[in-house]
Amino acid sequence: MLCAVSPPFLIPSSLSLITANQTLWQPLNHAVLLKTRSRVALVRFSALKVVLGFYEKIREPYIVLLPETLPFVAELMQDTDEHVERLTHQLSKLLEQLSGESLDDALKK
Amino acid sequence: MDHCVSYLQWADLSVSCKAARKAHSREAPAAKKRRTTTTTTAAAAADSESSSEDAWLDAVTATGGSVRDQIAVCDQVVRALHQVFVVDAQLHFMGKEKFDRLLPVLVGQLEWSYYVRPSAEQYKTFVHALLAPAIVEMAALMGNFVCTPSS
Repeated sequence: MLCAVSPPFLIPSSLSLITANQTLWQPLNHAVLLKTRSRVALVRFSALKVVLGFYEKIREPYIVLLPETLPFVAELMQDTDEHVERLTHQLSKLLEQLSGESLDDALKK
Repeated sequence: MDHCVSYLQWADLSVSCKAARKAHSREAPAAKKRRTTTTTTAAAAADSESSSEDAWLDAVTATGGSVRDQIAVCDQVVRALHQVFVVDAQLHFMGKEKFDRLLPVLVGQLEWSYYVRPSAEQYKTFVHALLAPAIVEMAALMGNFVCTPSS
């Protein structure tokens, strides 16, 4: 049956899935990322651990939220707490691995 | 679901009230600098809360509720939600409305539970064993949710 449906009819539905994914993930991702700006280092670390968990569990599909995540990662790279800083480097490595490109330039901006 | 949200909010409100009380009842001791900093933040937020919440907390405490009970209930609620997220890929119980209701209270626990737990170690255990896996599982379920025909 699928062969009878021409590709142009399939493309919009796949695009709508991506949009729907983002619609649900975006508020969650943003809410967790905001916690990485907490005054308490342990809360920042925990929030970062959750973000890392998102990328480790969902992997490539979650990379659509990379542009939103990068400014927060760039901030956390210079965190005063060494545990947070170390975890941020771990996250940036994973992001580079999933996106397939170096994020050095993006993180310096 | 309503009970889950209200239990998680309960923890939030009681923390705000307690933080406000601490801020009013004592001067900031240097030995408890970490707690004092966080108390100030929570107190600022709590100032905007109505006095009826404080009265409500008193009523809850008077009927036998305690911080320890709240922590235990909160742990159980988060554990139960984690299980719901794990099995929901087949059950389709969750929906956008439920996600929208749970998101703020569940993510809020990242910060609120820091103030309500007696020690940093207990907070770490709670986050790493219960809260973080639950939030991550919720995100994974959100990904499955939009791909299911029923949604």
